[in-house]
Amino acid sequence: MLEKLKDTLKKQISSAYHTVIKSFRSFFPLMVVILLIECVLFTVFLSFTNNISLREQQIREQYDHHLTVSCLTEAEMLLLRNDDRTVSRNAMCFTVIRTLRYDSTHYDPTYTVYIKILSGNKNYGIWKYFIDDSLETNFNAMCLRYHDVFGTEEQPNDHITLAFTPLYTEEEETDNLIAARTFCLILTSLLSAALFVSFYKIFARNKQFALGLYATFGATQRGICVQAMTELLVIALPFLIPSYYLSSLLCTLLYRSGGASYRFSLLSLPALFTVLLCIVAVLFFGTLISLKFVTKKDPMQLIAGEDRAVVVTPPPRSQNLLSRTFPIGYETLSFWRFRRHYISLSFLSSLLSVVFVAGCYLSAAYRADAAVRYRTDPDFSVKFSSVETVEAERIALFREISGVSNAFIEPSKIHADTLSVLLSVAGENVHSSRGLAEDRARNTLYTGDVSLISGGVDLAEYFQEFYGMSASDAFLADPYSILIGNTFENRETFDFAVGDTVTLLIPELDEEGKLVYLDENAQKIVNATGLHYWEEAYKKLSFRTLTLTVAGVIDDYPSGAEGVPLVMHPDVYEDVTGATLLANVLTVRLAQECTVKDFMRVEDQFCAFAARMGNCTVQSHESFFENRVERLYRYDSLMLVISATALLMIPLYLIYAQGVFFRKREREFTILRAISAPSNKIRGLYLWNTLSSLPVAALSLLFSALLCGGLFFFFERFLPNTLGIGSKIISGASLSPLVFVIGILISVFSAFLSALLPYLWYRKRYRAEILTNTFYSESEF
Amino acid sequence: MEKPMLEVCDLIKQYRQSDTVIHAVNRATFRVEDGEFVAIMGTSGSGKSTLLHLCAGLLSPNSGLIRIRGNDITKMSADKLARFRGQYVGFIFQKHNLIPQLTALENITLPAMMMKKPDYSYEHSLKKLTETLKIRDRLHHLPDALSGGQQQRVAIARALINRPQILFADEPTGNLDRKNADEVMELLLQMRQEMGQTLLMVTHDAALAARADRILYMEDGVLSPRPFL
Ligand SMILES: Nc1ncnc2c1ncn2[C@@H]1O[C@H](COP(=O)(O)OP(=O)(O)OP(=O)(O)O)[C@@H](O)[C@H]1O
Ligand SMILES: [Mg+2]
Repeated sequence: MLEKLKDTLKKQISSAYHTVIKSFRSFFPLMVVILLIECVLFTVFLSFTNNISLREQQIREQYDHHLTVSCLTEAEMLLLRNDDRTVSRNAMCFTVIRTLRYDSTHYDPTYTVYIKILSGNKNYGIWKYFIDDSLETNFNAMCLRYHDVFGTEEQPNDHITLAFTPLYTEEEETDNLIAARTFCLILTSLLSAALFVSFYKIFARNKQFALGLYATFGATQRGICVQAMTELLVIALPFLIPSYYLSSLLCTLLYRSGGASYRFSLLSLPALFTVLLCIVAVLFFGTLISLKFVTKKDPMQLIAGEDRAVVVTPPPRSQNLLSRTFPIGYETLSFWRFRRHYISLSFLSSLLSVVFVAGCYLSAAYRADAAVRYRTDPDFSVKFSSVETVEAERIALFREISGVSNAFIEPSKIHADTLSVLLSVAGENVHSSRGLAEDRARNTLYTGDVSLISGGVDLAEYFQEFYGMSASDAFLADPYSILIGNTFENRETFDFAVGDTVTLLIPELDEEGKLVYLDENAQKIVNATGLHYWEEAYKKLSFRTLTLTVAGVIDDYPSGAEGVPLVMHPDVYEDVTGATLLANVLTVRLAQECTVKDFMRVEDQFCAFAARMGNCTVQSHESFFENRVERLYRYDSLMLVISATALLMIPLYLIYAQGVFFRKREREFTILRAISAPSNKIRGLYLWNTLSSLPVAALSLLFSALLCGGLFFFFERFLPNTLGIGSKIISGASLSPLVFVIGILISVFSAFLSALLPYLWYRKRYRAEILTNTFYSESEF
Repeated sequence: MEKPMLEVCDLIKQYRQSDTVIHAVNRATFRVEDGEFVAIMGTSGSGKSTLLHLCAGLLSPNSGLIRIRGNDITKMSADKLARFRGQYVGFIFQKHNLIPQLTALENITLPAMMMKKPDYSYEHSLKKLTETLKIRDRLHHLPDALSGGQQQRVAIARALINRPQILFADEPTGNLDRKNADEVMELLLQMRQEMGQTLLMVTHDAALAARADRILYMEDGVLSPRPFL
């Protein structure tokens, strides 16, 4: 049984191998496509894998311990600290890295202990799944051994608290990266399969005469598929190795250019295995689908369909047209005859250019997002408890510390939804009114979704630094001048310019603090939220108005902060909100090139500083690490790689499809010669065909424009709040025009080339004896 | 009673070309007994090839019934039909339809390979066929290096290699001279004798048709046992 299977397999493979070698030329385009697909799959896999290791590396740099145990008594602390040195090597499953003592006037001192659990986890590599010496095992061993400290399951020790660091939960930390890798691989495979179907359909159509005859003599569809699959695997398997190295090289370049490290490995089995799986799936579904298209026809249709390309089925009275204007009229008719061919050409090439544009778009979106996040996320917050406003001298002190790029007073912010303040805007300043209530009669739109912001002495500077905008001199000099955002829910909504005015409506309250209605007897507003509430409030409540002048416009305000940002003078802020402005938190940002080591050094310095001043606490933000490692991920370049591959596929596809198409038509041309068309007319026929690049290019531009429009609409609607991209809106219009120019140039040029090359090939074969041969010889590309 | 080898009932095949409908085969009904040799004659374009393609399961009819040995081939799935053809049916095309990339020998052994037959099982018949058809010395040539007649003989060998029970031949001797035509006819009849093969043959040649057990006539898609006037 097994012998027989082996034998069949061997036969199958050797026959497939010989087929591929024998018709190398016809397989060549498929080879290129398979190589490119494998390269992209490898690049996706390797770059995500590298991201995972970058993430792990970052966690290792950031933490040197797995857990912190706090609120320990002195006895418990001593037990943990002393014992680990005395027990035997086998039982020693952790070390204490650091101990902190907290004194209090009311209680005995408590201790916090930083613990590193020892495990062989890292060194075992893939074996860690089989040898259970994981962190968890050792953690459990530790708990068991020190049950006096940690308690037991039935009797937990309540007064201590345990906190795991990401070093311990590393697998969870990288889980979403692994999920993203899987998702990306599946998406790439799907795209590749679709692409492969387009290529393989041409290939199969070209072979349909033979397929029809195979079917005549008893070949089943399954047999044909298995044969096709084996042929493709014979190509795909040997290509795995070179494409692995090509992709490794590409990844090295990508990561090195971004200042990140890339861990090159001579041969990564997981990568090889995963890509093998993907490519087999791609080829399997690719052949299955494209062969289904071809072999669903009757054998006789396949055999006879071969000649169909030669059969002219002209529209009525075309005879006159034909005879009078031979090459041009004839070929123009041919465009009509072969319209399906030309439409499918245009469609696929435009799909590819859309993938290209979409890749560029996503890449730009990632870059914009990273830039905004870098700009807006603080690294440290220093909170002073005794002062209401931090003085300029103190800010200067912080700015002087090396590694610190800037320090500002953190502005106070109140989301006005809770205050029922309404912002009213003249209609002509608004792009689209989604999320805004409308009053058509007065041509105003209003929203209660407003963030009121104000800060200390450096308010204008703050917005310049974090949002890259400069306010006019009027800001802060005139209390009623404001900075305002142009975006709402991450979408370009307003169209403000310096000098515009907006109105703030502040509801009046009576002595009891209740809302004052215009009409005493009107029904009170109940159960209305959001839009409905504002609409009702606008009509029914009595307001005090405040006219504000725009002194500066914030173009992208991150999605996390809700509402339209309204940055105002401290006095006006206190007046509107009724709250005292607190300006006692300092936001500190580190220079972009700071390393994790720098971060820790600055943190130590801050803590020393704080201890000396005695009235402030320092809080560090994880976003420093997050943003830093995400900048290293190079998602943007990965997108560009995918998009460049799509671009490369355009000429490849067009040349292949047109090459096969004209090779088939050579019979027709030869018949034309046989019925005495002179050779210069045949040349004219080809040259006229080069102009087929024009309709193809025009059609694909049309398709691309439509598809891109749809895509941008989709992106702008859904991207900002999904996929984690989003603080910055990037719109189709803001994509570099170069992208479109390149897309158009490549499409037009490859359309032109794809019609010219077949002529050059035909001319090479153009001999007198071709006449007799072509009638019988089957076309082979 | 034995089931008839081929049974065709009310068979219709139409071709639609924009607004005109061509009735290539119009309500054909006939049966062919086991081992019988039936010739089909008719003018050019009368639908003979189409009828043959339909009977061999190479084309699906618009309606009607085709039974080979009691198996309704119009109801078979494409795969089942393919296997059925490989096992029981041989076909000689009017236009020989050889695969140009394969040598003559490869073309001939193709059906055996499709049925996954081991080499030895068809070697004998291959030898005999190639000798009788006088193509032994041209087996390693590509089809376009063969003459029209040689190509046709290769196609005949290909149809017979699996020793089918029923053979459809669409003008098998159309490209051959008198002498060769007679020899090929001789071979077909000899094979039929040996294997009790059923033969359905389209021909323009009245002399060849005369050797058949029965002649059917075709005109404008209509089949009749008597010649049309
Ligand atoms: N694929 C097709 N599409 C449209 N019409 C077709 C097709 N194949 C055949 N026909 C038409 O069907 C009719 C019958 O054709 P068929 O090939 O069966 O004729 P025939 O009797 O074999 O002729 P000949 O003796 O010349 O070979 C013809 O009128 C032909 O034009
Ligand atoms: Mg015919």
